[in-house]
Amino acid sequence: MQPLKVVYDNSTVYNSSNNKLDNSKMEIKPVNPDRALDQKLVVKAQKGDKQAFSLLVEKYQLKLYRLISRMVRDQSEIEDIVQDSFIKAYRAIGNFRGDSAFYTWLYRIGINTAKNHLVSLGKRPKAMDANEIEEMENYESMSELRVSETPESTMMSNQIAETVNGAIQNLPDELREAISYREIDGLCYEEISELMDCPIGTVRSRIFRARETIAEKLKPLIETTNKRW
Amino acid sequence: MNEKISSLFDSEINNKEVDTLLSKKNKMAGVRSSMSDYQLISDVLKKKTILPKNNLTDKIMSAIDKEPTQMGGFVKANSSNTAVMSFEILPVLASIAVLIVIASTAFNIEVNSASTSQFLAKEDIPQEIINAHHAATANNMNYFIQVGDSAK
Amino acid sequence: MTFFKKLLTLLFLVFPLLSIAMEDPWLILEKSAKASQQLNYEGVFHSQSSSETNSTHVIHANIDNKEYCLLKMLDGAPNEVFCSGDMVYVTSQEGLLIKKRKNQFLFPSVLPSDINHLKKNYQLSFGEKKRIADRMAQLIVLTAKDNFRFNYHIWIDDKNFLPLKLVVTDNINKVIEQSTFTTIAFNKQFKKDIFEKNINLSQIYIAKNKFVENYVSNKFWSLRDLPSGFKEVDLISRRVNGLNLLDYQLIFSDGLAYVSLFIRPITRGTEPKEGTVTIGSTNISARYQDGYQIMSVGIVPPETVKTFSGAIEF
Repeated sequence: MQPLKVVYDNSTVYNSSNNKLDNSKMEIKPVNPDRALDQKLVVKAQKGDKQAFSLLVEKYQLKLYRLISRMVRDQSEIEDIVQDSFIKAYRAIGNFRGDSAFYTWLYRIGINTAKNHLVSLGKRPKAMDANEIEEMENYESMSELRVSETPESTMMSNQIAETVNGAIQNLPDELREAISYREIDGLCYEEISELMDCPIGTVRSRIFRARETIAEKLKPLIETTNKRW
Repeated sequence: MNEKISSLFDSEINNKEVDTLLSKKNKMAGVRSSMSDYQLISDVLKKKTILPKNNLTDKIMSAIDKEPTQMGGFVKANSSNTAVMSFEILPVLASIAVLIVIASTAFNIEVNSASTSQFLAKEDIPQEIINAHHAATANNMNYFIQVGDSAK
Repeated sequence: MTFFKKLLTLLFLVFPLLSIAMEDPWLILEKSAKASQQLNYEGVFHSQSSSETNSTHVIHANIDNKEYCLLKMLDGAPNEVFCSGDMVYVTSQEGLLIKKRKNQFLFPSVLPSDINHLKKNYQLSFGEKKRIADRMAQLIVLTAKDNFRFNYHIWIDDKNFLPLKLVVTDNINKVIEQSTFTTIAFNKQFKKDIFEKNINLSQIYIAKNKFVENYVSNKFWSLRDLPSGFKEVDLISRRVNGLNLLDYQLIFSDGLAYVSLFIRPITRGTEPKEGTVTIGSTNISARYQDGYQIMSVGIVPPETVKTFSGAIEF
């Protein structure tokens, strides 16, 4: 009997003979169970665990930074707005019901904080329509930030990118494959384990080892420039 | 421990491991630093603009440490916690509780808790839930076939 | 001598009638479970659930130690199910749906292989014999030991132990659902190609779920105070349509009854639901917790689904 071409009802296309994922036919993005973890951390924060909230801060501060940068150019102003947003979110954490994703709720707080900041400076904030706010559900699709860049910061960014890309190329195949599936294709561990035909624990370990190897190469670069660019 | 941080970064971590990480209070700065490194690597691979490593999280948490500890949300009655409730909140809660008692007594209002059974309409149940259950378990082939029809 | 002859004749006549009652009754259910997997048979059975009835033509064979079956709906759209080993293929006008079957559950294969599990939850007794589809059948009643499950009445063929009729009743003897053969013939020889002939290799097929073992790594829940006698038999995770989110279906069974427990993230603009409702013969209980909609579903008493939906802890 010939191998069947099987289409999963979530529109993921597999060819049964080689089990490879055909990305061009993916109709929806692969799964990221962020929300379960966020909910866990929010519940802990609501029970008084500030360290749990600190993990949410670490997870979302850069993403919030990028969002605010669409409205505000100055770096120190952006940082102040991000800080204010998280403080407001913390004060209101007891009211968070979990009806929406945590980051959607956080982003709304961020947008309002930025608007109020601009109004207080006598500047008119750019109007965000319903579609732009809807986009917050899928934050990876947001346009890139527009902070002021200096020649120094551009050079440093290029050096970092070169170091990371070089380190990736020198990784053993299975580590490079695992971290690429995770970071570039956005696949979850379950999907990666199916593609690489190995247990989920192995996927976890490979991704971790890839990150640690690259982070080691980055260390000298980051330590010598541990100041504002 | 570090492998757990990598899994935390990917949100691929179970409850127990989250609890273990959070219990190591003196290592949280290290956890955040690792996450920050991973974020940098991720930004490069996703071809995003690289932001300098900053100490924004530390600044934010220093400010939050000065805030009263927040309590609230859907905390279960039998859960234990060690945070101290702010004294400013207690009198307000007590007043609200008194008002509720007075109102319910005076107006004969039933105060519903989340655990009280409420009326649920058939229309509230998504058909895909019913289909998914029967597709996996039905001994009547009719259910199974209907799932096949509605699979597209 | 005459007396002994008479006694022997009497025993010879009575023995077949006593044979079923003299055996360990639970062993009979084991034989019945095996019969539905191993016998070759062809017949038509009717099924009724709440207000719906339908007829199905079934061919079942065991060829080279592998189970094959072909079920064809005789009412409504001409849909077919065919099974090959533990793979199930459902053909309809739009395509072919493929599933991996983890548990025996399509009539007449309703009994589990592990009968011991049933002993904890049901009391077994014998009922009357009667003719079904021109075959003598013995009634076996599995009465629920508690209020978490319904009662099962199974008529099994006197000679080969195949279930010929199944009736599920609640604690006031109201019929919940039933299936019964109207015609059946045994020991026919079937060729493999009659089970596989309906696959069109040039078509695209829809697989409802990935047929792999449970790969869920992030079980962020725990279970407490489950209804007694139920154990988890399967776990399925699926993407919520259009979002980067997973929802989960945990399946529990006591050997005969099945309950699904769904854990679904609340999506934007959706109001969480709470309460219990009956749809046909299925009971559903819904609860909201920490951003998730919990729903339990099953052909079991309402109290059972309520207990299940309350059993999740995050």
